[in-house]
Amino acid sequence: MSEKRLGMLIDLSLCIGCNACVVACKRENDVPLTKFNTWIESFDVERPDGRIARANVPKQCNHCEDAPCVKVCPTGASYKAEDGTVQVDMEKCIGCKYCMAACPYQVRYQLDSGEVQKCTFCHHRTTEGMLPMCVSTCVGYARFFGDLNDPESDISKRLAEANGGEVLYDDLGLHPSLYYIGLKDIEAMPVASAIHRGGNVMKPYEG
Amino acid sequence: MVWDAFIAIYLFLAGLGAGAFVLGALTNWAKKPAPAMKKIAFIVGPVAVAVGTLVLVVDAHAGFNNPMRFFLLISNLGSVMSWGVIILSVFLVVSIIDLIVLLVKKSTPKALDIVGAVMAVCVAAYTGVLLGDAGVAFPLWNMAILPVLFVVSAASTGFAIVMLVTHLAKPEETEALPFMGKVGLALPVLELALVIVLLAVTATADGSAAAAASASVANLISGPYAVAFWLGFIAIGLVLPFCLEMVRHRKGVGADPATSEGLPSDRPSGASDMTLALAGECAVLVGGFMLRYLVIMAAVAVALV
Amino acid sequence: MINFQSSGKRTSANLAAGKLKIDVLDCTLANGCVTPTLPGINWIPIKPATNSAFCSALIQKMIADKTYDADALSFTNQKAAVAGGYGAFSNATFLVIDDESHPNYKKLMRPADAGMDVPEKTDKDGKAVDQFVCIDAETGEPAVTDDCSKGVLDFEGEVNGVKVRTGFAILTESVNAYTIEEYSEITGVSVEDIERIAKEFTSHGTRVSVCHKGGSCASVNGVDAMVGANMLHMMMGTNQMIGGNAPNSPAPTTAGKGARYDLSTVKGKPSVSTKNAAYISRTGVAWEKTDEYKNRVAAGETDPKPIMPWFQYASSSDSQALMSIVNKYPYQCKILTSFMCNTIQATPGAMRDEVIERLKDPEVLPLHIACDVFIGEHAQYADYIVPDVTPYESYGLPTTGTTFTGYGTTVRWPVKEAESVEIGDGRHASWETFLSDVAEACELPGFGDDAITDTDGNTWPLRDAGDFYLKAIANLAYAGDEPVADISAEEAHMQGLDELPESMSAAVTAEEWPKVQHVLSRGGRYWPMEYVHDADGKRCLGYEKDHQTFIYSEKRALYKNCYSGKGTSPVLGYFPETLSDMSPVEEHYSRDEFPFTVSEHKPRFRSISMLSNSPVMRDLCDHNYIELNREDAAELGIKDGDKVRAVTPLGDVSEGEAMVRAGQVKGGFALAFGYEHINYGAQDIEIDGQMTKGNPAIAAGVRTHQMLDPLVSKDGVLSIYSENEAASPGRCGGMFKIEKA
Repeated sequence: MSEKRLGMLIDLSLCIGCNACVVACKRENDVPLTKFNTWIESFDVERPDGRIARANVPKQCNHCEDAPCVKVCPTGASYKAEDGTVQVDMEKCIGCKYCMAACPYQVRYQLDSGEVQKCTFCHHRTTEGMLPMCVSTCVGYARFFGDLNDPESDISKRLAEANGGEVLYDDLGLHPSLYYIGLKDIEAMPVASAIHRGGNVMKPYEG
Repeated sequence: MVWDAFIAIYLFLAGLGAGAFVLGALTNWAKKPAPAMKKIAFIVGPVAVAVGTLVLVVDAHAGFNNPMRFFLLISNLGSVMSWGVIILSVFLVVSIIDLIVLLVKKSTPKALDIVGAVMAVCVAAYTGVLLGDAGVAFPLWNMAILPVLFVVSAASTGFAIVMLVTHLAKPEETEALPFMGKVGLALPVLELALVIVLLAVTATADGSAAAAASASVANLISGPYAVAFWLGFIAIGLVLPFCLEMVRHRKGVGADPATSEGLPSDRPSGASDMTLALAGECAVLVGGFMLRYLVIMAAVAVALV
Repeated sequence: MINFQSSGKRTSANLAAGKLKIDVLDCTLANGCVTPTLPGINWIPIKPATNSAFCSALIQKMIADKTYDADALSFTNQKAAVAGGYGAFSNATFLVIDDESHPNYKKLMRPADAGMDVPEKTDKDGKAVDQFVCIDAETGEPAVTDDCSKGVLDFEGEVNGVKVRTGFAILTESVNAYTIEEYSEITGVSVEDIERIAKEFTSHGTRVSVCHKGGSCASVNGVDAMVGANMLHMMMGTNQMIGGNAPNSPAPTTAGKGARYDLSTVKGKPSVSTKNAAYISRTGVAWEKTDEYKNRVAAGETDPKPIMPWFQYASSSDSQALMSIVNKYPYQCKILTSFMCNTIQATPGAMRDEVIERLKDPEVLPLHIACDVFIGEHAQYADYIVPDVTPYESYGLPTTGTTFTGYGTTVRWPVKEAESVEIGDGRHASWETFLSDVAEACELPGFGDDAITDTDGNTWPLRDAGDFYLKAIANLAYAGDEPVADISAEEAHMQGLDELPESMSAAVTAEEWPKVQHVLSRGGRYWPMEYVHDADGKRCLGYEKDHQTFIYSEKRALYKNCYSGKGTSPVLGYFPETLSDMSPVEEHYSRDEFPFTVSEHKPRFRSISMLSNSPVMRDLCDHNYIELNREDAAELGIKDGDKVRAVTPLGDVSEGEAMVRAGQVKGGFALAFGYEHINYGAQDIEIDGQMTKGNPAIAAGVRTHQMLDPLVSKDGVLSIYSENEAASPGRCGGMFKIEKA
């Protein structure tokens, strides 16, 4: 287990849905308008005690260990980097969008120039020893980042405290590197509003 | 939606071209010689596949802007698309050589026809596998069913386009392949059965895929794509050709009791039959496109529900 | 309120650690700390404009259960409270004259009223100070409040033959005006929650607090909401207590008489006073004290009424000033200069064609000069627009408010050269250069050469923002016992602070500059938390000074409405929304027909009136919504995403897309403000013959189209629905019916 596997952990109890990470990410990564490397889905839920709470679930590339995008990419533009993250080599991308079609998390988008882009876990920052922008800007300290293969890393320790955390679409078997705390609890709560992506309706409330 | 009607056009043309080529190869075993039909099929085959491929190239506009990147297309042999590129290339090479041979020598080596036909089946199946390998994201794209369904649809549309052109260019040759009538009845039934299986299997998906799967099915049978599905695909694409074929079949049987097997070769060659045939063939083409279009457009990603 | 990022950070951490419990009383569930899995925090939906009812209910319950801090309430002066371990006292035990025939009826009893002969007391300036009377808890006899330590809380009787009651007794009566069940009905908060919260609030000693912001009072009965929060603090003696109602962010003097520069004294300032002037906002003066009233009485009118209301206790109000301007009342505004404001957009009910037409009319407003970065709704109707600089190009020393309870100040300074036009001498067009150039042209003192004096007696020029603010930053750098250290050359270089323009370093002395750079590098100066805490970590800095809570407000007792003469309650109570004559709005229109109230909340993706021009913000959120409770929506047959409209009794229409949710209180609808612009880039603008096309996306969304006050808005007068004491617009509450558009 000497190989590096960078991962992120988001404690959903601490995400206040301020979207500062979203804006910081857009600025840091020059994400075009209407596209997002990370976004927050916010919605009302009924808590088990009957009270209503507002859930905020940040989404972004899960940097799957068994990444379907990497598997389907014909040109090798999508690849697994040495640090375990999934990256896109823009010089190789033909824009066939197969990776976009194969991603169950739907985190990829096409640039106007045709290449496909997505969250890189701020590869350009992490290779310089900095944290991804969304992590360093998170006002609630909801996001943790580090080497999942290093038991001494902050993220590994936090994950251990949280009984290993949870991942989105566990059953798809893709072994994502984006972990959550509290995801299953929230998924079990009835949704009581539209699901907003930022402030825009992603899925209307049907009552 | 990641992919759109553009990709549906490609899937449709690739299937159609593949089906057409196969029919061309089958003329080798025709009761009566059908040189015109073979030529039509051998032209439609590579041309349709080539146009489809061109559509794909244009759609991949990062590559279109930087054409050298297309040389990387077979970098990852773990990718279905890389194999698709190989299959398409081999098919195009074989079918074009075969066409040139046909045009030059007026006949083709059966072996080359068979190789081409095998590649054609691969092309047709590949269009299904392409989607199927993204099935982890779009539960409607079922790896077990889509390739078979697309092969069947490729046969329908490929045969239909060849028969359509033959009807117009050389009507007498349309009777050359006696099994075509039965095929015309069987393929829609088979396709319908496969679609039912696809929807049933999709609707019963569980786990993270369940919501997207049932939303995809709902999109088709009752949602925004219901009209296109029921009218464009089921009614026009499957039921109409089947009924028209039945009518032609009955007429054929009634007109010539000697052909009790009801083979199409015994059909009356009247203007009304011609109209029925042309209508049926057009309907098959519409249905074939609708199938690709609907499978692309109605699919809901796991993350989007 | 806890959606503020910085408070959100600390709040979440403390909740997660189990060190904090919060009940969030809000009409609308905001994105914030009320997440599904964070322990210790609940969202309790409350109906708009009923916060005072909720506070009253809690206090009723506390009094009934005797769970309040009687000790804290009984102290009659600061000394006694401090000696008792607290940081503040109240006038809960002060006697109030309760005899209608007494000339001082409703006033606090003075020693003279009690027949007590006590020597006059004076403050440090030699002015006589009021003295009050209580029943000394020790002797049971009347005493001057300064001369005893504890008074009897609940007293009703006679002193010197005068009927008196304590403020606490009056408060008790006031909060008992409704039953808990009735309060529950009014507020929408369940009886169980009221009782639970009353119990919780009284179970942690002084380490409890009500964190309330302006929005909680933004209704026409809003003053009582503010009073309610103050009462709750006093009921538990939490004022000046750490963990209780600690003061927000005290700061040293920066833009005043500071450690290095005197920035508040203007040499040669003409001796003019605004003492006898009336604000155009009709605030700070009682109607009966105005010249107009006196003149009309002198002209023979009996009981004259003003055409627009006067607010004797309100300090100032931009919303009211705007309405005064368009009504040319109490006098015409000849020249309006406005800076970085969008009052017309931010005043619910003001942005309507009639108001805009008058604002544009030179007969109404002859000259309007606006200074702004944007051509917003307000600037759009100005005759001249002076370009301003953005926050990244300007200075500021905002105290940190809710985000930091410690001692210190943040500093904002230009991180880039301004984009506004250069005006010749290296300066850029901005509010500050505009002011100083106009002042110099008018030969006003305090600007130009030798405008500012430092502590050594040297004088400095004032021509640009930096001339002023960098000196304020120097004051900050030298404040307290020790100035900050000089910035190291290495750090200055790393941060690029060694490349700052000469104009900045020249604004202070060479000795001060490295210390100023130190403050700039840290974005402010902050002292350790011990600096604001007393030795045992219980009370806040300055707790010895007088901190009095007015359980009974004599000032409010003497309020007189300019139309009806009605008074307001001197103690906390729940009073439904009223119109300008203090008559309940529900007496004018049917609640059955207009069952909804509105509440506005801060948007996550806009500011109050700005940011709709930001493509990223629009990307995050195209528009706001009319947020509706799902049960209300079901009753109205409204589905999520439907176009709906909220209509006032006067026919004002707010139309938008419905957001049907459980996170909205029943009976109230909500919207995030900052949307439905009509200018601000939404409009085509021609400048010097060059046309800039407007972007309709900037105009998206809905704002509250609040009704005008129908009693005053007649015969050509346009007057907003407003709080009768505070003068603030009725942002929340009101009467609406909701229908599908």
